[in-house]
Amino acid sequence: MILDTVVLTLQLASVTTLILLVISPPLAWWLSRKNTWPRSFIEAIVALPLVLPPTVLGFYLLIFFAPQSTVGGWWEALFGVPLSFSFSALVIGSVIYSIPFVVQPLQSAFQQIPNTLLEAAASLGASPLDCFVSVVMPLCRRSFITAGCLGFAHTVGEFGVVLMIGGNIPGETQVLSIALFDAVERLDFATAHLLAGGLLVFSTLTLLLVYRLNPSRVGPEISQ
Amino acid sequence: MTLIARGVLQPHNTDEASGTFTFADQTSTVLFGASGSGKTSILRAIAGLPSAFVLSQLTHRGQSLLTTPTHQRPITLTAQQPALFPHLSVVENLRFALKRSKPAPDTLLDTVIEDLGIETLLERSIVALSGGESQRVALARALLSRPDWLLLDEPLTQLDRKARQQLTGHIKRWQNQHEFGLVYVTHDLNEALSIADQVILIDEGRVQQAGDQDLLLSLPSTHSDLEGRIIVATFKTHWSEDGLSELSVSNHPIFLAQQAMLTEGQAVSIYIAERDVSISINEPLDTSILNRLPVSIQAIEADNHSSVRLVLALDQQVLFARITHRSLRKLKLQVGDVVWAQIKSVSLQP
Repeated sequence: MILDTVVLTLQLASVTTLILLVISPPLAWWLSRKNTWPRSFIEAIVALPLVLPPTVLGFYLLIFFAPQSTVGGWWEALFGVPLSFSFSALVIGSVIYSIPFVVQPLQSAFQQIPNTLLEAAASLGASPLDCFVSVVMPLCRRSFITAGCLGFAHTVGEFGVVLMIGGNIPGETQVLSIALFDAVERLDFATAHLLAGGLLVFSTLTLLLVYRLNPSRVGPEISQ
Repeated sequence: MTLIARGVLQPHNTDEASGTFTFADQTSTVLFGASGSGKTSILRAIAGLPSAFVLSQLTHRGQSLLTTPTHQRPITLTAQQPALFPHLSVVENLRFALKRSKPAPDTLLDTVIEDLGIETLLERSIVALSGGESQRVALARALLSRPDWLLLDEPLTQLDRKARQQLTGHIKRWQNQHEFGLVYVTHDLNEALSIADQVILIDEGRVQQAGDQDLLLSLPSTHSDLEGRIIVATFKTHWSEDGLSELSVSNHPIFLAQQAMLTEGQAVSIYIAERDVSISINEPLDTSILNRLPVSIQAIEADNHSSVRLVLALDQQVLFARITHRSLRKLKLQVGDVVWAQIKSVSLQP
């Protein structure tokens, strides 16, 4: 029972982190290089999950995911199963909820890459994509690891969004933080201690790893 | 078969006609001008990088490159601050360029490494390099990218005179062997003289004058940071027992360390640093200094607190002497005086 929940939580965090590591680099790159009105707007949207109560986000997602809504309707027509109260709904919710934790470290690392290096690479014949893969990514290697760790840990630790859109179905949508809430409600303090302690140790270790990787700051390894 | 760049340097200028730069294929052009005259901006515009020089035309072999992105232009620019990739070692930086260039013979990498004297640096990290070493590596990387046009923006500023002289020789040889066009920005007259087929003087993004090397020799001294002058001499004979070669400047002998490859009657350029020239009112006969020339003082430039530069003429040629204000007063030197220039050392220009 606890094992199922642990496996499900790790699955959710892994899938979410993978998706975030695909969509965040281009987004963070765009945010780091442009200084226009749309940039500030997108930046604000990306940062919204940091300040918004998770229940607000969860509430709107719940509305969007409902079978009678446009998004929920399309999903059901496309995949034949309802979106709400499914693992897929949790993944979508988690991606939105954890995106600032992945985008922001990448963005600040990208901003510290001197333009002169990108110009030199372009002048030597490297296309923008080549330049990103051969120059930017190696220089920001640590920030990629940091971003992945933070995204993963934050997804493991989420509660409000999952509670709103997941529906607490064991083996399907019940993750650790919800199982903890359940255990406390049932006054099952032995289980609660186990879950709370486990999450505490996991989060501490993750942050320890992040700070070991970045002794002084989050950013690319460029010494001038 | 040329590279033509036409544009205006903003915000100085809106007149396009004077902002047309023409570089003939497989030749080397030196852009010469004061700081802020737009040299760097022009190179950046040609390379396709953001620049205050706004192009309205860029044609290479009859094709417009105006909308071609930087990485697809057959052009490599090396900026004054060498932008080496800090996550790669020296040799990996070189391979970065090689991998993205036209197919190259296997020996090319080794040849460049040897020419630029960077054999011992290959495995080093970029952050462990001195300024001069970085410039050597950046130059090697640029040569390995084998463009049709190589744009070098003051590539040797952090190297000493001897290294600069050696490297300009290599650049020139590479340019001839590998048949690319070279556009070279420098403040240094010596570098300009060893590189240039063509010289363009720039001011505010405009072509002031274009011509061959003679243009450089006729420049007023205020145009350059050069602390010496180059004059032309004729080779006379070797004095093997003394290890000296004798040259002649307007029928006055000039000796320098023996240069075996010179043949009789050959014209050579020699460099005389202003600090190696001292002044004597009468012909100095009882001195160990071999080289002395009778010259007339053309100008006295008080350009700093402690010393002045004398501009000295011998027939049509000019050399400089750097002396103190105190000596100037003591010898009561004036424009038009005929004096003796004693020259402590002379070096041959490639």
